[in-house]
Amino acid sequence: MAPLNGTFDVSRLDQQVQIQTNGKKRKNPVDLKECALKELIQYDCQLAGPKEDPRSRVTCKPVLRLFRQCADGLTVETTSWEGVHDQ
Amino acid sequence: MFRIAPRRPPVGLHRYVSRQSRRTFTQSPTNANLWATTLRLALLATKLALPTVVALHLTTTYFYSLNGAYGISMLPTIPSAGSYLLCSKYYRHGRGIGPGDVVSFRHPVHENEHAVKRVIGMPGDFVERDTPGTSGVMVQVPQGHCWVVGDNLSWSRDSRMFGPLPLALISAKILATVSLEGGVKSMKHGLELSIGFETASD
Repeated sequence: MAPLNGTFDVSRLDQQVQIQTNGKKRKNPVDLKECALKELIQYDCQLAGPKEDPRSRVTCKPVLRLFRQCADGLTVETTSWEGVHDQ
Repeated sequence: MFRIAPRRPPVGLHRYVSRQSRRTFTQSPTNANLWATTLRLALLATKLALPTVVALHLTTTYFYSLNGAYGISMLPTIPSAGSYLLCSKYYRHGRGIGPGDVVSFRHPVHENEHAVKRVIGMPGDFVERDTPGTSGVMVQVPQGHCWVVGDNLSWSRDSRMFGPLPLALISAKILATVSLEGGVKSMKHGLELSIGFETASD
């Protein structure tokens, strides 16, 4: 995997969303709390029981992911941000 | 009066030709017929098969295709075996794709392999680099790329491993799963408005 440029900690999300992919600042600042809150459910599926046993079943636990979708089409994942860094 | 005689081959040659053709015919009638029939059949087969092959190729490249799917990375959305996916090729190269869509793409690491995952970020979007709730490291999806993650987070190799996926590798959007047991199930768009969220206009 190629090294990813521009990784940052979720605590700096508010400042980082103001920057576009070309490194320039957005003309209209983004306020994440004003953007629509969307949710996506993904899963953590594991085989319950021994691998060889045909009666073993796969059980899936839901994992909730949260997103903010802003008016200009920007989508920001806020799973770790909501309720922690959204002050 | 002056009469113009009709044109005809010299008597000797005429005789020669007819005798020749008669001889060929009587000598190997089956061979000649066989060749002609084979040629005619081959021509007919080409006439029928060529448009069929071309039509099939164009349909599966630019319109729709039905592909078998296996693997546990998209559980429970797509069963691990025994189901087919209805793919729309309109969305090839990421055209019209957005976060929440399930796409099929040429694998960026394993050549000649295709994979099916869910898009969670498009160019310029921000996503969590790892499984949510593990590191809190975020990343901005670069231009011309998207971020794909399998629905079965614990058993999926996706952008968390190989990084952003070039949009050009996307070959289709998955419209539905088709299986004998489950019938046709349309693929749910994953991203939904959170219950209880009030927009500013409310």
